[in-house]
Amino acid sequence: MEIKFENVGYIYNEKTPLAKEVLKDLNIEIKPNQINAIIGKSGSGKTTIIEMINALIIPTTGRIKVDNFLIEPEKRIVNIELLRFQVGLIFEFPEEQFFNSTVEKEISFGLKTFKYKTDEINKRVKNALQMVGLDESYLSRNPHTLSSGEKRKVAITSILVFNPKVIIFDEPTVGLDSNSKNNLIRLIKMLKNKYHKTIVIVSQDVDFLHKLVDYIFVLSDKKIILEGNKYEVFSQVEKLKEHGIGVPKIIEFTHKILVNKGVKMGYRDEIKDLIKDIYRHVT
Amino acid sequence: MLHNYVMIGRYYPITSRIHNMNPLSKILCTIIFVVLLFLSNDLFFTGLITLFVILIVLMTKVPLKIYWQALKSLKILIFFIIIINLIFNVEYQTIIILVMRLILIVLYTSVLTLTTPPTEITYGLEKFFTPLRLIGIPVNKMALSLSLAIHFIPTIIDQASKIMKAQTCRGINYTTSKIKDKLIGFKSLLIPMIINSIKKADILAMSMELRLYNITSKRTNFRMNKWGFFDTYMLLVHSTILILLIIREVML
Repeated sequence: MEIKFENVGYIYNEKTPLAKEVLKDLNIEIKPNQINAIIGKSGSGKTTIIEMINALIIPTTGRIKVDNFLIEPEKRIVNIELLRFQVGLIFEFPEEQFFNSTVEKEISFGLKTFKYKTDEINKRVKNALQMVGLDESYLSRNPHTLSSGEKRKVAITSILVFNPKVIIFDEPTVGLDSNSKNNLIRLIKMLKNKYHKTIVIVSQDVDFLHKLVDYIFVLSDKKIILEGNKYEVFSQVEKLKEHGIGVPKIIEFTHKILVNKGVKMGYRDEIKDLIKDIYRHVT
Repeated sequence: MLHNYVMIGRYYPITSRIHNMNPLSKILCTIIFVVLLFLSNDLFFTGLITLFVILIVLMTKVPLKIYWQALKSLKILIFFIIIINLIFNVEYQTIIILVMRLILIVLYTSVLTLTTPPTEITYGLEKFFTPLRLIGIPVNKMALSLSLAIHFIPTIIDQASKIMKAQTCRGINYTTSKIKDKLIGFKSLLIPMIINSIKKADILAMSMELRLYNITSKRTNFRMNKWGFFDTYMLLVHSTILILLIIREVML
């Protein structure tokens, strides 16, 4: 599914004294069937970008192509429901939007809104539950009584029932413990590898992204200052720090070894591999 | 999204003589104005008050379209006022005065909210109600509740906006005209809002307690809102108009 930003700009509270330009002449092409990440400081416009993909907000300049849909200023989007169906957006703290008394009602709510038949709803709910690794006993439970990790899974399930082609996560790790984070990593990888979904993640948790993403866009000063695969982006430690963006601890460590000892270590995803490298180097 | 529809506490941050006034004098002027408006029973005086309000509106330097936005929301109410009064055969002059009163009150209170940040309004109200302490009314408690409520308006608006966006992604259409869909939309917004607000209030109460907040202790205010010449001048202008109107009413 093609997602392309062409010279997109966005101004909050346009034409008022509170006007604030957050994006200017932005050009992005989201890589299909990959895990894409958008990183940047708070307030840099990351959430604005993802809300525009779903046409929740409309750019003030430029245009966005999402499959056959064209999102541009002052133009009505025909069949916007279909766009929302194809692009699932999971907000920060999605569990705060629960309003039904059971998990089943919460998950099936969107499908009922789109007038799906009961059989189809039940089938989709069960499939989506299976995808996130929850069993059917959860269906009768009250969503407000679940643990934060489980709540997050239910919130994700309520979007997965639509079977969207693109799934967008806004700060998915906020409020999660390390075990839940690892489960989330497994889930997102499975969504990409097994179900061939295009994933877009907005997060400041660079350690989480480092374990997961394929392609990264770095947002600063209203535009993309750096993009590439995770190795290309995270190796630019100085540039990232210059723009106030953190780097994964594992990269920070290898960078320090290079700066202080002059030893260049290889790029490693896992800490155990790095330790092996160091051991080899020492012995 | 939601900010575009909410006029409550929409402070317009520019500098003007009205912006620089003491919030207490603005509140006093507003009260005098409301009394003034309800005492004026003829077209001539209502016309004069309209000119006075236009002058004040222009002095605020806030773009007129912002005031127009506030007035636009009145159109249905004005329509009903006219229809009901016509049904009961009320004089045209009285209907015009009624409609003008409504418009002028909205314009004048918009002047107050557009030129005064919500926190300053709370400060003004606290000062205004201070004499009530003498008869045992807990003004500081009331001021604290009001201040907290006003402080949380932007947070609640942001939260509502976020929830509406999230529910929109799940197929809810908040702009629908169908009553059933409107009710579902309302439920999907209201329940999470209540739950989250209670949680936030609970956290706030605990954090205030942890910082040893004591409602009964005497407090000073960090604001240095000085009473200037313009405050006295505006208060005198308002009072003079009110006195003139009362004298006119008594003499007639």
